[in-house]
Amino acid sequence: MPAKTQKLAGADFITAIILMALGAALSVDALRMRVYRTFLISPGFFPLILGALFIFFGLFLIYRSSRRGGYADAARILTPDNIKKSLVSPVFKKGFTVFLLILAYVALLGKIEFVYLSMGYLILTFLFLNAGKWYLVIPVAVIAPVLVQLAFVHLFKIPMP
Amino acid sequence: MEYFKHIFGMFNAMLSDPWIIALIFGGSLAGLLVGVIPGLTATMALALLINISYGMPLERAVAFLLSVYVGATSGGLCSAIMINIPGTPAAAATALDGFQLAKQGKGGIAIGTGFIASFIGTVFSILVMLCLTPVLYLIAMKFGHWEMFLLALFGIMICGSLSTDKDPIKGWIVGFIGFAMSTVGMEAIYAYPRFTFGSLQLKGGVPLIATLIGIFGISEVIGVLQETVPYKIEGKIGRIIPPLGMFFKKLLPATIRSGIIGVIIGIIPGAGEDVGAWMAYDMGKRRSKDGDKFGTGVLEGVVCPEVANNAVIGGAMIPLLTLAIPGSPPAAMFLAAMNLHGVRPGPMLNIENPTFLPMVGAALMCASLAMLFWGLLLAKPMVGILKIKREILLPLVVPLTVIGAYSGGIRIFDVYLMLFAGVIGYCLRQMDYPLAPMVLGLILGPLADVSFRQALMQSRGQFLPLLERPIGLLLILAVIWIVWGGIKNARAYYKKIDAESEAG
Repeated sequence: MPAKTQKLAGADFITAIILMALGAALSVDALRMRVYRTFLISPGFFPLILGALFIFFGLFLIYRSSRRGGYADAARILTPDNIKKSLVSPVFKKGFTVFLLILAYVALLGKIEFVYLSMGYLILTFLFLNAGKWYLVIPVAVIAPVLVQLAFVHLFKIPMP
Repeated sequence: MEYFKHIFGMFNAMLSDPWIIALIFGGSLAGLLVGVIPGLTATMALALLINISYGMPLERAVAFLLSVYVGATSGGLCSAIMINIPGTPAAAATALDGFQLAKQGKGGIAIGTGFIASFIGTVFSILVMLCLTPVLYLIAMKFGHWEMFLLALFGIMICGSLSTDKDPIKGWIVGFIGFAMSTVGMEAIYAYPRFTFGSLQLKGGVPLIATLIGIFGISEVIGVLQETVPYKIEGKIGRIIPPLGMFFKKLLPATIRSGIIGVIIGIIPGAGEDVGAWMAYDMGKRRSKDGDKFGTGVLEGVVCPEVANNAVIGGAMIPLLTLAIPGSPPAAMFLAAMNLHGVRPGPMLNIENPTFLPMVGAALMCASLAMLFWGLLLAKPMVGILKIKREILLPLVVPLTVIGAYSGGIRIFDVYLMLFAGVIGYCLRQMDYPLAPMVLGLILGPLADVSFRQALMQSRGQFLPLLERPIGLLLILAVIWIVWGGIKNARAYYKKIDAESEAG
């Protein structure tokens, strides 16, 4: 089986499983919803149709990917070795660290003053990304949140988190 | 005649309010700057700046947001031409000839031509919008629940098909995921809480603006920072303003053709500026006398996509104003903002708020003038912005996304949801799933749900009477045609990559 096709097929296979699980969960929950007069006009009707559609799409993707060796490739993608290899790749590490910095920033919202929190977030992110010389990027990280705060609170009258 | 008096009256009113003029010029400049930076799209520009409009009166909010929209859609051409990386997806086709022109030292002329083309595209689409929308209001009044449901379904299907040239099934899946997300919260007929998991905050549903900021903002920031490719500015920019005689003499047929394509693509729900630009470029290549020179650095190759992507703006407003169905993702942001301002676009808008259409037309006209002014005046400094590293610019966006998500409902919970939506958006991007159908699904989901059930209520649970309605039947046939075409395209795509993989 050609490599590119097989790679796509593996991804399709995994997506199909997730989609079918989502469809099943949606359908089960929809069937548990209260029925008013008839089910056709009840709150669960529309989600049930969507659940059925997801299961249908999942089955379709499984059929399509299986014809191209999707199962074998999905099994290869999900081996511990392959997962480990993906996790230690520089691109993943970089993206994940950027995400963690945003996560920490969001988690600390409301607990630390917005301006100081934003300064801290920006300094750490700039330093991690090697955005430039520290004496250039740190002033940017300090001034930007102050300007944003001033503009949003005083000019646009928008409350800060 | 009365209608056109309204439009001129609104135009005059806008020009006589210094605040509106300041907001139009400010919004247009902000949009241009966001558009110039690769990775920041028009949708993101609106998502980031929408919160500024919360406290404004309606006219100012409309003028400001539409200026951002026009500016950001046009701004992407600078980076497409000078560094071969489109500032927005809408400018991707512009890069093909624009970058070649920049290499020949004609970058400035290409940018100037691009801005003039964008201006003409916007103005053309405004005129079509102003003429067509009143007619469509009358047609939209004939739409019942069944037709509205089918229209929502049609929107998802066509958007799913057009937003990915590879596998339309992926677009449809994402569209239906948007539908599913929209079912969270109290449903509209019986106020029954669905998928809230006992959370009080989820009872109000998934907050639209916070979700859109997450999908387009956070996912973009992580994606771009993860794979930053260093770029360098190609050649000197040179003269900006092109010889106007040459523009109107040689490029007029391409301009008109691309304007028509852009408006048509804009009217199609969710298709967006990038689809319009690519279609106009492709058509230009096939129809032009110099078609064989496309890709080598011809101005026509810049004009076609730039006229079309801006013509999508007015086109996208037509279904938005008449049916509350946005024609593009930035139009979806605009719709969300209008809902916050208490304006409910749809068939009744013309009766409830008869000045709204002239207001949109006048605001777009002023915005396009401001865009042209800034574009020609600041082309050189804007190219200079590209020298600033994206590692500095993109982290600065994150606090703005947080403020944007928070200020919609003044809840930290919305910020958490924004981050969650960002992660989903990022994963979908990585797997090559288009995001526009999801946005459309999220917006059209409540309409589809309620209309479908109300249509069934009216027909006493019978499907047969629904199939006898002519507009509905037409829409069903259109959906079947899209599914058929989509499956055919997907099969052709897989056959092609099978053949490519086997060959190499």
